Amino acid sequence: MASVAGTKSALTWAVHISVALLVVLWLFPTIGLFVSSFRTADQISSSGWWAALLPSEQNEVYRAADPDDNRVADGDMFTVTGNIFDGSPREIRSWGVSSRDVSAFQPGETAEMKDGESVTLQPDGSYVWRGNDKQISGRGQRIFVTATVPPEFTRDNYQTILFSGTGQDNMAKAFFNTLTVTIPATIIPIVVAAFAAYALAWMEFPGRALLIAVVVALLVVPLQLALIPLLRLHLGIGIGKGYLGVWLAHTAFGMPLAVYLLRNYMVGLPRDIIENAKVDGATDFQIFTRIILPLSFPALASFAIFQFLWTWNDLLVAKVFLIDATGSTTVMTNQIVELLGTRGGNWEILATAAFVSIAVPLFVFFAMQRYLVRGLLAGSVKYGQVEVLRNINLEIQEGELIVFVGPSGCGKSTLLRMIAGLEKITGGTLEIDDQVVNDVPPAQRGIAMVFQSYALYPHMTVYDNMAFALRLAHQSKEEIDKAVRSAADTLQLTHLLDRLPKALSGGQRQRVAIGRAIVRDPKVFLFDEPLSNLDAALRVATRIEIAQLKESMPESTMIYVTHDQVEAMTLASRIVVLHGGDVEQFGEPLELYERPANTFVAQFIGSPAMNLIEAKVTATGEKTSVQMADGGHADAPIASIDSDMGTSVKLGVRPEDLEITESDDFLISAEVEIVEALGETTVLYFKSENGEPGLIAKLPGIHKIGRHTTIRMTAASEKLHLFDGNGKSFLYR
Amino acid sequence: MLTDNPALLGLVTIVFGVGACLGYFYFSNQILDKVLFPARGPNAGRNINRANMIRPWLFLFPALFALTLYLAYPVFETLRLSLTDRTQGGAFVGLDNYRQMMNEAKFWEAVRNNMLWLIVVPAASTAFGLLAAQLTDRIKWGNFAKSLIFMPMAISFVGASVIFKLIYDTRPADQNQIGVLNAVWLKFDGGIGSILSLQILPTIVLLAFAGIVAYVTWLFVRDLVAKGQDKSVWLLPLRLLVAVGGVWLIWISMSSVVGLWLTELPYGEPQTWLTIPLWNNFLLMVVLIWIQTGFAMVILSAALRGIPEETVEAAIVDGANPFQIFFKIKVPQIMGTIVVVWTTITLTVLKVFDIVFAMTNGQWESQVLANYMYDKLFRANDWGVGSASAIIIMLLVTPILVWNVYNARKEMR
Repeated sequence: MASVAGTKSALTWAVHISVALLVVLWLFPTIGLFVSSFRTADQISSSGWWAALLPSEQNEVYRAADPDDNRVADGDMFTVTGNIFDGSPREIRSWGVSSRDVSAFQPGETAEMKDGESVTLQPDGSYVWRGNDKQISGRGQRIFVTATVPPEFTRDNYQTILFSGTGQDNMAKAFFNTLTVTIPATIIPIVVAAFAAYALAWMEFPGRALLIAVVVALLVVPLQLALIPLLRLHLGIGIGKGYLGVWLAHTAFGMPLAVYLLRNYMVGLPRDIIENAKVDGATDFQIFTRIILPLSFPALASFAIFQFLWTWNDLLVAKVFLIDATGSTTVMTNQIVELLGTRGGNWEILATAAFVSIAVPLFVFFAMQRYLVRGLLAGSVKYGQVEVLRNINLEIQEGELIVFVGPSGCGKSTLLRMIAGLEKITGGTLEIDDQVVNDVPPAQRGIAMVFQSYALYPHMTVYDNMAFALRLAHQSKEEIDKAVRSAADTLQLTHLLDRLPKALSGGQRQRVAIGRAIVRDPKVFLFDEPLSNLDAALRVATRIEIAQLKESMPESTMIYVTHDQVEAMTLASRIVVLHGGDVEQFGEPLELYERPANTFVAQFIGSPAMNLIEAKVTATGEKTSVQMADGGHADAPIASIDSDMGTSVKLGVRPEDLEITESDDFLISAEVEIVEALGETTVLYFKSENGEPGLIAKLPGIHKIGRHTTIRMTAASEKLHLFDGNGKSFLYR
Repeated sequence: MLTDNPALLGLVTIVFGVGACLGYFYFSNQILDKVLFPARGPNAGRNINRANMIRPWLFLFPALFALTLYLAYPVFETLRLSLTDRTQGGAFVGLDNYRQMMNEAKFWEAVRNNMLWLIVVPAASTAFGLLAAQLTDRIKWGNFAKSLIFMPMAISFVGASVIFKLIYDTRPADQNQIGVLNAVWLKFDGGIGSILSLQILPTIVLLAFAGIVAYVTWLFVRDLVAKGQDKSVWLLPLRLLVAVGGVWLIWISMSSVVGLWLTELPYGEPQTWLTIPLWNNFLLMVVLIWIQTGFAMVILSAALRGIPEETVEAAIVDGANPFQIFFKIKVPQIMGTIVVVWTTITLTVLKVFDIVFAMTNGQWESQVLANYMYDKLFRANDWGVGSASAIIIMLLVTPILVWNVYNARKEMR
């Protein structure tokens, strides 16, 4: 949407900022736990984890060294020197010598105390404490320091939880127990469910529909219902509480989702492949293992991830079916819950334990994400290849029907979308009604567009589809009703106004799309290949309807994009031929046919395409003579200049202009390879030499010409075209 | 001993269990094709047909067995248990268990809380999911953002409970708060900023909520009042239900607005959040919303991308602004997916157990049905009442069950 003209970049920024906020909000809790698991118990309880990432300011108390052992005489005074930090330096912000004012001094300053006693503290922590005999005695002077402490992290918590901890603090056993529960509980249901899903998807048997309904119903049944009956059952048949019981329970509880997901996926596999394998003699078992399983990999993988996460993270099933009084089979989730009860305040243990249990699913999640999301995110945004348009210089008059025609990728749709405002214009100006509209949003340009796939709003009736734009423009109910009914009348849609698009045929949808454009009463109608989704018969009928529509609205301007030259020739008042982002020619339909500007237009307009024959210029002037390699010769009434003499040119002649000749003055002499007798015409395909496209002749009526006969052909001289070495017509030089 | 090493035991089981599984499928098919109905001899054609009639059941048997024994049978067994008394040797006691349960305040507390969960969590998760899906749809780092928002899906409810307990943690007033919520709370001092963000902003949110509810309710009721519309009879109860529920929600939010301005907020005092009745429910819900938003986002994002690009462009040409495009063009087209996401999250909510169990264990009026049931079954050992509450959960999911089956049948036709 960012490429739409007239959109505000402020909105784009708002989107980016909102997404960033959302991501931060969603990430924040997990990061808190992660950071906390690397802090010591003291750090966690003294400050929030968000403070751990930045250097923190701490107030600390140090004492100068014991004066009785360390004092040194200095005249009649004594000094004690040393360093308060003892090898782990910190950045001192400020310091003091009294608890009443702990930040009285800056590092490097000297604190003068009573009777000449003083302390000097340097930024590196070294100090000098001076005073008389009495002052420098007893205990060391206290020094209060406000220091910046760099962030500090430790791996000790993980050491404790994984290896050295005892009892509940050690998660190693629970980790392996969880793994023991998880892996079989993930793989077994997949195998069982895959077979069942195949049977439900591709095998015919009585009661299949009922079984599918049962599976869908069981999807919803809360597993809480199963706890007591199954525990009784397990105890009754001797499984008791243990791994076997929990595997069975997980297998069964995951089964409805597994069967449902896999069946839905397998049903979508192409029927042809499976039937082909059956014809080849494969049994159902072979089809399943050789074809279905490999093709279903995305669905299998995404269910495997779901089931893995679910069994790994489960608490309830394990509590009921696995963990007995001894607690030796406890799983991580259960152990964490117990830790929450007994070590509720010991966040370093809790956070680390939780993170250990989260780490594996997170790893699986990020490693396998593309499988998990692949099925769900199928069909990503079409960014479309960038088509560059150059030197487009067109002026369209009011009331014209202009057709943009060209092969796919020529830029014709891009040009139309630029006029609509759906693509931004990077250079040049676009004017509608003498007004530059480069930055005008689509809705304000006075245009209406009919899309290739009609783009009807599927949730709105025909009436609402047609009224939508008018409602957005806040027109009155009466006006809207009048406009919609009148357009519906014109297009014979009145009896369909209450229907939804899905209840319409292709041709009717097409008419609704046109009706939606008409009600807006636009200055310019834009049609983007509107007929390409219709079948051949309907296409001809609708083409005529569009022509009639144009007749009935002589003052409206229409721009029509198509790749079909027949549509272009029949509808257009003028045609723009586009190729590779350039306008090749702009003119009336017959002008393009009779006087093509270059070899591209010559071959694009007309069917079969114009024959181009290599030739050399032998005479110049008012008329130009050319000589072909196979002895053919032509005098075309086309002017040429002296410098053309002897150059290589292409002689163009349309297949329908060729006629058979017996004389020596011929254009072509070639061997017929294929004859297509259509009754009204006979089309001859000549054998081509050295890989060039073969020449074609289209003769009126029926001609009895045998294959592999060599015949001569000629054409009226005014029907000839000449193109220079660059493919440009001699007429337009 | 082999059984002493869980890793080794697990490995053996994987090999044995998966081997048995595959073996069953392989050999049962072999026996069918080679022994019972060999595809040769005079009856080859008849044998192949017979084998093909039996084969689906070979494929289906293990799955059907597991489904019947572990999901279908327990529904009826639980129903039976709920009508019996364990202490009387399993004698039939009629609806006594239900009567006993109805007389417990804790049960009604659980029902009320479950209703709150059912309204708030699916609505909030779907709304956030839709928002995230729409916002990330057209930006370059959208997929990266999506995988980060989706990440909590991989975290267990228990792990998430630990994460959020840290957020809600409380320290005495004279210490540094290590829980984010209290740290933020203590920033409020009753000044203008506090009034703005704790009274005015919530008032606006509540009023907006009431407005949306009123609008949706009106959409449902309008057809009742309107003339000339076809009034199908069986939709009538649904419409009335929506109307009553809507009025109730509006009443609740309006009284909350009044409460917001009448309550004196205890500024400056750290709160033990999880012990504040009613509010602790919402704090527990946040955990589930945090987890489920990613799920909603991924599904809805796929649906948004399935919308034909041309309908959006047509709306642009028709003059719709980005908000109108979103609400009038995109949302209606993905309504089906929104309903699916909503019901899926509703099911998760009905089963929510771990979060409440790990964070409050139903204390301070935060009980929910699933935890109530666990309490009855495994702590009080009262299987009758426990089963009765399980049946209540089953009753609550039944409408979704019927709806799902109905849709599945419709799709298959």
